[in-house]
Amino acid sequence: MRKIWTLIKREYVTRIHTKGFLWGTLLMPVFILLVTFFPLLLGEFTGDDVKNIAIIDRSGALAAPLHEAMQNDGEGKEATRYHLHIHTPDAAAWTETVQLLDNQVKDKKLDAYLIIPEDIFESNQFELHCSTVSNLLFNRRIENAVTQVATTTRLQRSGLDAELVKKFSARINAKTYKVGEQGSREESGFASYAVNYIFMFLLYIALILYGTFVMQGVTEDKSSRVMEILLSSANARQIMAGKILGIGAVGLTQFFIWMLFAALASMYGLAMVQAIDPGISKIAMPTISIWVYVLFLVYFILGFFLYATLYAAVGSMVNSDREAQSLQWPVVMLILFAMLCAFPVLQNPSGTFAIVISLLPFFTPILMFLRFTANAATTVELLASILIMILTTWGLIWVTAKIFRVGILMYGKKPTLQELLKWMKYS
Amino acid sequence: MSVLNIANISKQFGHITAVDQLSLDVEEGTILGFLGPNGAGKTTTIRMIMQIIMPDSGAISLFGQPHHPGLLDQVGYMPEERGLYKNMRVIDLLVFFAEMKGLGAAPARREAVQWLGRLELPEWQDKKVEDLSKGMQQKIQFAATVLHQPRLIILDEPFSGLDPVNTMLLKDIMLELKKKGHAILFSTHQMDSAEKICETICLIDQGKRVLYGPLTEIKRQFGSNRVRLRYDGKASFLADKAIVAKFDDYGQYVEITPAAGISAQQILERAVQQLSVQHFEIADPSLNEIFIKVVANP
Repeated sequence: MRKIWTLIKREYVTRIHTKGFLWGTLLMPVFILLVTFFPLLLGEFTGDDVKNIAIIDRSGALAAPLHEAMQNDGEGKEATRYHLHIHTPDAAAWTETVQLLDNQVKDKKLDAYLIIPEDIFESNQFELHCSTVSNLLFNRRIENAVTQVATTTRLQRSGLDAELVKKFSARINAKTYKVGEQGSREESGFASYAVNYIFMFLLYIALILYGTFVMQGVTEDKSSRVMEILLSSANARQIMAGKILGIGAVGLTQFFIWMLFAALASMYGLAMVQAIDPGISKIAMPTISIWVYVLFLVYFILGFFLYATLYAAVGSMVNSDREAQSLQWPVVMLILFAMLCAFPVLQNPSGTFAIVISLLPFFTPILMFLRFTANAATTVELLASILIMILTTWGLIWVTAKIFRVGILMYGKKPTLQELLKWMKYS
Repeated sequence: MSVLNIANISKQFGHITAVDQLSLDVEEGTILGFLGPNGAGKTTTIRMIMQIIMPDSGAISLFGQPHHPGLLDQVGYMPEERGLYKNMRVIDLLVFFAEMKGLGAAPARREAVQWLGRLELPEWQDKKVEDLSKGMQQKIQFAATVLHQPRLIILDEPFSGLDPVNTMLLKDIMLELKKKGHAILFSTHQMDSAEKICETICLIDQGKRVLYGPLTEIKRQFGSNRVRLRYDGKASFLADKAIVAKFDDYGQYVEITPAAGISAQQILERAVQQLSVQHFEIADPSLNEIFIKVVANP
């Protein structure tokens, strides 16, 4: 026990003192803040970005209502976003007008122009000309506006009163509420989603990052031949435990610092943002329950141990980081697979697929945590997943320790699967 | 008192027998030269002593007790491939290795400082290991091996890469440790250094022990009564096949292998009749010669 402690101490102290630790610890919160506030900032900037759009309306019926619709979209935002220019060329000036508009788009004086054909009500098509056609959000907006206007016109033509049509076709918005322990509270759907996503992403990064540290640590000790000296004072199990616990402790330290940032941000973040831009007060900041932090920590620790034992085994099999790259793929794939399942799981977080896959120990840290933040995991499922993870890790340590014991003394080429099985028999 | 006793240990890796029925014994206050060509099984044997791998059969006892992990704290091991944490400070690294052997942090630091002084590296205490030259790192490795005052010290090629001055320094320390009662297992290819400091040697080849015992006895055993002779005059008797089986003229002296049944004494008598003898000796084979003889043509 004392030897494991000495190993942990060395691992911890030397790693805490590196520049990498300092920068990693400082840059991560900055990165998270950027990820969180980037969309907000982006929204602010694009607000100034006025789009100039020209319309050639050959149907003669849509230009005016379209102009009206895009200026008054209810929230009053669009008025500042779109400048519409209506062109009504006669047949003689047609080519000339299109030429002119093309040139204006090329010269960036115009962002786009629309050609609404005479038979739009039959063909259900119009032309959109712009310098980039891949801005799907913009395309969709224009499409929506034209569809809305066309629908209104169609309805009016069928004899309905204009006021009535407007009333009937009014857009209906959803106000989102999140049901938590304290009942329902109003919350922005996007913000809550973002928080879940950030936490899941953090878990993902942490598992890979610290797992890789363990692997590199083992490979380093092996290639620098320190391993043989360590083995003359301690056994392979102690060395493996010291490595994993030491790096785990570094991870936890870093995490507590990050959590402190996160807690401060959730407490004072809104006030800070409001100080910069008072208009932003409309956003309902998601409140993060203490249980999110607790489970985050639990799943980080359990996930770290599970993956660290695998990474330690991989590290013991190879002689250099480069060799490790190819052998660590199966492990990385496991974590990656959990990430890939995040979206299907979020779509139906209480479904059978979500329950089953989040109980598989290798996917539990990310997926069960995700289901918890989506309020879909029951207490029984949480406890079961924790128990399964502990049992799996315990069993895995038994197997990987054998690989580790033989691996750390093997130099030369990478082992094949057959050799691995033989190693397990050796020890 | 026997510090290390190895009785009939064997180790197989697949079809290869790395160590075959090896036995040896290291006494308190002695240095055993553990010799053998590359791949003879030296490292495997040492790893078995260090309990890094287990023998398939046979027994190893340390300090009169059957092998158990607790005993390793009283053993110091310097492997042939040096291993140091390059990004650590010298002093921290030494304290770490000593702590791994069960020493407390404070005494470990005290010993480390003292050993750095003894090895003429006191000013490097707070430098990082990577800033040290290879020879200096070698000395740090040596300090790490002996810092906790182990009763048994295992050194695998301790002099490789050291200049003659530092080789002398380490050799002196080894003899000093021996005098203090430490037992040393000294594994090497360098026969001349083994010859200088070991009273006992164990030579293994292909996992088997081929020579074992006090160096003087082994030399006597191989002393094939060859004679070295320096003289003035014309030594016509050298051509007499009845007396001389073979001779090599080295310019300064002639090395003579007497014919069967002829003693060195008889050679001397013949020489004195013909020549003015300046120098006569019964040639003791060097350890190097014995090594080559045993390993190359068994």
